[in-house]
Amino acid sequence: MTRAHPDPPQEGAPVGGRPRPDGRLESLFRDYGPRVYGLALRCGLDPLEAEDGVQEVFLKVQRRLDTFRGEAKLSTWLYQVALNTLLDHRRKLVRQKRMQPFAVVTDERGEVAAVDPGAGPDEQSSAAERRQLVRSALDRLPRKFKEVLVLRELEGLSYRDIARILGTAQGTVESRIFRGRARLGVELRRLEEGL
Amino acid sequence: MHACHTWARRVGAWFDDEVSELESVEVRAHLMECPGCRAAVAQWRSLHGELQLLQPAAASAEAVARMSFRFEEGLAGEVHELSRGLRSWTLAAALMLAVGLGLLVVGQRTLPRDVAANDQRDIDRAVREILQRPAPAAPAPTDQRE
Ligand SMILES: [Zn+2]
Repeated sequence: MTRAHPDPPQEGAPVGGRPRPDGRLESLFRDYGPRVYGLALRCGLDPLEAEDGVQEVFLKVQRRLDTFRGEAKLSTWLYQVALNTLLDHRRKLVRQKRMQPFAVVTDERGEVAAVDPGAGPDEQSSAAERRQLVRSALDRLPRKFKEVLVLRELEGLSYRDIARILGTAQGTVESRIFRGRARLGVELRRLEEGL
Repeated sequence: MHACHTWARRVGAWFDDEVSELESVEVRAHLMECPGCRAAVAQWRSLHGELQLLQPAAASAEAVARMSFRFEEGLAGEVHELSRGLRSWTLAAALMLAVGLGLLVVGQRTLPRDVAANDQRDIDRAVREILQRPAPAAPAPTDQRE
């Protein structure tokens, strides 16, 4: 997945008297920045929070890049760091009650593909409400279920890749996905009933 | 109605396209005769559809530009912070060492000998670890394998 860059940046070369970010980090950001942003949105962050989340992830990557020893694929390692950081970020926001359950995201950059642009305003707002409900249900799940469901259902990863990212057995992934779905169904019903 | 206990997980793996062709034939044969498992599959399908509501649009060019800018600015700042941080850590380590040695002198009178000795080893180790941290602006080369 790592692309070759025709003009590799000089590592640590100062620009305007300031040290530049590590060259490896720059290419990581180019290759994975948008993907991490997508993951942030799928973890339930809204667009502006997702941008903060991406920043946080790459700061963490910068601090930890020297601990990457190459036993895992770089993308797997980055996924691990990103997933943990973003889920922590989301949990903190939920805890701070900055996320109002059922609030419709009205930010102009809160565009979401799943909303049919051809739908009328009523349909769009009900889709937004439903989306918020699903997001809240996902937030109610224990971390171990939420992470596998995000990786499987939204990122579309295989059990094998999820197992690698989480550092767990494939059978565990299978079982958590199964239990996670059951639990998500329960939480959705509870929210629908106003519990 | 629930998926039957013995088949549930296999049906789940089948739903995710994570079984062999042979298993797939078996699961499909089971589904033909088991309304519980069929109901479970229908529920997973509906959940999958609901979850796709959270599927975001691709990042706008504006968002990507903004993130790149913050990346450049933020990380360059971070490099500064780290080197400043490292200098203050070195100072803090020297202070810790001084305080630690002071405590050790007191500790030899008030604490059992082994406790005092452990404290000293911990302090030594912490100080060594801090002093051995590499300068953040000159990272070691790391293999970028995929
Ligand atoms: Zn069955």
